Amino acid sequence: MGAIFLFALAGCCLYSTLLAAGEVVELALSHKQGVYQLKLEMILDAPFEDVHHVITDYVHIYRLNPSIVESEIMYTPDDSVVRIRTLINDCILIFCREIIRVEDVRELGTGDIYAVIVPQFSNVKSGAAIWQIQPLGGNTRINYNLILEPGFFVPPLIGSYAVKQKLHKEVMISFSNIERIARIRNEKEEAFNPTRHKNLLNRIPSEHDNAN
Amino acid sequence: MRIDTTGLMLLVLVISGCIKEERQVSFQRDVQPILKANCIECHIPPNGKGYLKTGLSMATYEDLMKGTIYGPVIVREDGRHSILNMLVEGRANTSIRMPHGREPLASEEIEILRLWVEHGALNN
Repeated sequence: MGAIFLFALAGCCLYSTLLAAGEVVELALSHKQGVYQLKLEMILDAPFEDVHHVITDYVHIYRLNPSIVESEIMYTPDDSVVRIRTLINDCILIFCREIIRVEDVRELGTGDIYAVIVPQFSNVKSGAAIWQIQPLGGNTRINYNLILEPGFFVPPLIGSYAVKQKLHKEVMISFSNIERIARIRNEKEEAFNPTRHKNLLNRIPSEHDNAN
Repeated sequence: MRIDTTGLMLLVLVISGCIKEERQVSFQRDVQPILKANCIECHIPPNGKGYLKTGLSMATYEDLMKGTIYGPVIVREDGRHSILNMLVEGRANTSIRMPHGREPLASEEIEILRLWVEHGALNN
């Protein structure tokens, strides 16, 4: 009963913060046998090119979430992969820890971005995320799928709830920052090139274009 | 009950030796000279390179606290999460270590900036 109440509470908390950035089309969070899965579809109020640029600006990755206290692009012999190391300093309930996350990021031919945890350099057991980014008129639709298996102890019952809450909160903060920075970038670029957005819309096929 | 005064004195000495006294840092006396010598050349309106790129002016305390167009660079009392400290300490990617294109700050200067932020980033 207590657990059911907590999950109901989680539902309320989740949906009260959904408008933090853009428009949430779909959000699903689940947990099974130590593996957390988050599926999020969002429409960000910023042009595709700027959103894509912000997400792939690995040098300034610390801008996306204040929990990131260190970041580094590591050497990798494979040119198609960017290996990124981030140190995340954060707390779940009263448990504060530093999470070392090394991930290999690939930009796929489709424009999607695939990131996979390198477990031997991370204290996360395993994980992968796929970003599908599409233009939607002057906005951007993102489908984000995350699978994460933490390598650290998560207390039973309340622990998995707290991890899900944390994942949700951090993802929303990151998406909010992606949108905010992309909009700033767009304003800056527009100031230098006022016809840029028009050119962009002509160049990038959007769903509205297809519908028309 | 007897108290071993010699032991007690030794204990007090050991404890006082262990407590690290952190110096009080002043923005005007300690921090501003570091910023003037290393940062302000780029982070000054209207034409400083760093100012043009990020909107960060270090001309005054108020400007510094305002941060960049992307957000604040100082988190009061939290040098770990402050972007200013992150960048001068080289904790973000080394290609954007500050000051850009110059020698890194001396460790004592890095420590002064950290202490100033940890003590609340005051305009003192």
